[in-house]
Amino acid sequence: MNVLVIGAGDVGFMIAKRLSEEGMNVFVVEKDEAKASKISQMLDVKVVLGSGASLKTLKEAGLEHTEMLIAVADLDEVNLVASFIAGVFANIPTKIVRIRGQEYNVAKKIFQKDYLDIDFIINPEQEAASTIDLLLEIPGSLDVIQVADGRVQLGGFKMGNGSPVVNRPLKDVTAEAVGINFLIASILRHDKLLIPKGKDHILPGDRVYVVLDKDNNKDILSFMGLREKPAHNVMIYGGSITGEMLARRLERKGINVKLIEPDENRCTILSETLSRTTVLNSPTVDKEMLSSERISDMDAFITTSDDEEANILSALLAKRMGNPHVIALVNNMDYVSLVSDIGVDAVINPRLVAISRILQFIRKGKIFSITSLSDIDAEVIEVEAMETSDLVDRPIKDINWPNGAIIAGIIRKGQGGVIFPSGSTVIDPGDRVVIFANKTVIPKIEKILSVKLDYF
Amino acid sequence: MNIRVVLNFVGRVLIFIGIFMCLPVLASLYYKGDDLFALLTGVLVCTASGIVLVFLFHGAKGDLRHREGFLFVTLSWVAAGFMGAIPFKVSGYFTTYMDALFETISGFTTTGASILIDIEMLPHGLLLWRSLIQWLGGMGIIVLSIAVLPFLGVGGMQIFNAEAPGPTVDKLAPRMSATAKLLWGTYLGITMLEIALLWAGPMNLFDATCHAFTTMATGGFSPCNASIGGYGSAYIDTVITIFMLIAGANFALHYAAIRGDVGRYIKNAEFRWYIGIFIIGCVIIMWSTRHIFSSLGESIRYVTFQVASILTTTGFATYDYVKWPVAPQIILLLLMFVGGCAGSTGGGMKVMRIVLLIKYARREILKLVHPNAVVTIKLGRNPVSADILRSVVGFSIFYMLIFVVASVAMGLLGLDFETSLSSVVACMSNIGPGLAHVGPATNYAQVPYIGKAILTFCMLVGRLEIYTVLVVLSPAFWRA
Repeated sequence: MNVLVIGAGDVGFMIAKRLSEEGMNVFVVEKDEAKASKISQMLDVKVVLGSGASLKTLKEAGLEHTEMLIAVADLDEVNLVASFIAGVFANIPTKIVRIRGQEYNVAKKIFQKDYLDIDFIINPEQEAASTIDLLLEIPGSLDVIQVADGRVQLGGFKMGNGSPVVNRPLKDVTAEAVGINFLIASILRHDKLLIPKGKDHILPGDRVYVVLDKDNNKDILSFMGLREKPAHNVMIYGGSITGEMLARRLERKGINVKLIEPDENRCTILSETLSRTTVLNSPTVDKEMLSSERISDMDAFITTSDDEEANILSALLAKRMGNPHVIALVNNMDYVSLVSDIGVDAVINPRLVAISRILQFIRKGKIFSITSLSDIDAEVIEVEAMETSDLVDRPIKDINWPNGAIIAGIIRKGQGGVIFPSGSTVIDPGDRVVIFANKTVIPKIEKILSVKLDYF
Repeated sequence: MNIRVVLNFVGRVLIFIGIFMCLPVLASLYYKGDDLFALLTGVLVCTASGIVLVFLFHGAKGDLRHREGFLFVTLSWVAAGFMGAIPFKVSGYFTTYMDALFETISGFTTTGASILIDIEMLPHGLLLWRSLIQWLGGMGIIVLSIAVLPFLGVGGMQIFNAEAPGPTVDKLAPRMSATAKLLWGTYLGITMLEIALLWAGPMNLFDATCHAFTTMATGGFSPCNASIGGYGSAYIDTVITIFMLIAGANFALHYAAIRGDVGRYIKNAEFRWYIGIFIIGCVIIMWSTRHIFSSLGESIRYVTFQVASILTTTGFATYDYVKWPVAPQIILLLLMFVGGCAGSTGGGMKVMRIVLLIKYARREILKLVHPNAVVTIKLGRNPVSADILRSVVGFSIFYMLIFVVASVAMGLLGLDFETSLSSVVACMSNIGPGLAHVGPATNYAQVPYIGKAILTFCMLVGRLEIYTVLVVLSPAFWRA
């Protein structure tokens, strides 16, 4: 499979890296010499120096034989022209384009089949806003993975000292969970993924992934000693595009939003475009301002300004003053794991979000969905249980399952909720199975599923 | 520095070379030569030490990063040289290990400088091994490993770059392993064609194979004492001249031509310069040797062969050019510096670097005349980046420095002026025969051992294009 990636920024680089590691032939077009030379040194891809809007460059990058175009250059216009040229001079089955500009929202028709024929449009700001929105639905979460069209959620939480489930053997904890479907899919400890067994303990500081039923997660959260009240009062710092999009989403859901923005003119614009949101003009976030705006009553505090240092620091200040669910937007990828260590609940990196969304789109196929955890080498796979596979018609405990993988949930046709698997559960052919797996055991899982997870 | 991974990978390359050493074993069995034991010892030691390295550093984790890439390539070549020399030494045809090592490194680096006085006394197995190491070294043992062994798919282009000739490498395919496969496939295909053409002429299959191996590698080892001249055949001379010129051109162009895009040759600026330099060299030498040859046809036959042989850094001989006047010898000495094209199997500084240096110098003049001039240096229609220019200038400075220092050292060892200078150039540019006492009719046997060691180093530095070896030798490389 030949893939043409336009733009070797963070997103282009990471996508090229993943796809090339998965065995695809990747061509990268980049106009900046330093970036081009960096990627050609580090990855096994073919790099062509030039603009993505130039036919000559694109031809040099094998446009004729391209099967998938991923246009993620900095400029929307370059991405649009590239996909236009690709449509005119070559027949490319899949086109993925990053569009940032809001102005294109009103002209969405140009993306349709008869015109640019773009299969998937990725807007990092919008994806960031919707991810934050999702995190707010599960109070206290730092990561949420959606599977089965959102019916199953895997919530990632950082466990504190005070939780009743830490420092005890897991089988004792499970025994207490009467009437609650309590399943810990995995534990992330010191950047390593563990699939817990009955004798394992959860330690304070671990990040645990818990299987949640979308409509009914209150019991599980309170059992784990986590915040359970959904966000109702939210404060946002930074009226960037992401901040504005988020405020609009939240106010539509009936949440009270306060939006702080240092720039006065921007405040005026925001107050015009947003309806129920309270727009506050304040040069900085300080103690005085936070207490007068009653941070202690807030369920969540989200920082979405363009200044990431300000985002991190004001998030920490808010956490200390009122202990809301704190989410910070951080653009530097290397800071992501650092920031969650120092006390910010969740960190959103628009680029990582965009990368993960693009990969999810690419991998749709025989399997329903596959999600990479953003910062660790694990995947959440959703797949149909085939009649021929070793998965079906036997209790789960009799499946020769590798260490490092777990069945996190089963969805059966005609049944609304999620089936939480136990050792005696039997999977029927046709069930959708959600599997949480370390990347290293994926080949073994492929064998059990008797399906090649080659993503296409 | 992740030395464990590097040693593990070097071990795998050694196993690979050990497997190739089985080919001369077959030849030895077929011809019933007295070299069977020596070759089997080579296979055993080479493979065993490879297995030991792989086994010792089995659990080594991590990628080959920038620095490890340089170390890996340099170590692999040095190890290949030491292991490849074993059959020569054990056979007894070489008196000292230094001599065997000189011959082997000369082989792998496609230099073709020999210390053998009577080549024809060697048994067939060793003769084949001598030609085979040139063929392996021509397109590169690491590039071949990348093509065949899946483990080297890690890292980026730096391993490839560290071995491949020229300032830049054309990726023929998006994947390094696919590019390496295409290059080796092209190389193998053209070699087969040459074997067939030579075999069709008055040459037996064994000699045709050996000569094709060493022509395509621009190596220059011959199983005959009199080199190509011994056949006295205009047909063989012509075939080899053409294939030397092919081997000295960029293999990316040959690949394009095989796929039907023959026009790429003309469009390629470096190729035009290469052919231009060849023609100008031929014309000057033909004019200055007009009294020596009796007819124009004879002149064309010998001069084109010799110019192609020196320019492409092959080093075959059909005529003892040491007997020519001074002017043609000077021209040959200059051509020794030039070498083949980037992406060829030839040695030397490469036509591309020479062209860029000339353009770089011309830009300085233009800038003095028009202080505000903005001049972009282009190769053909493509602008050349400042990074590449910088690396070319640095390369040339190092090339000259090593040339000067090594020449002085050779002079101090008691060699005469012409021999000192030309032996160093001939080894650094991977040609083989130089002038005076190391000319085509003589050999390197009488060079003192320290001199042989210096020349061995020059061959390696020249083949790996200076930086790869010098980087590993620099103190900064070993600091944290």
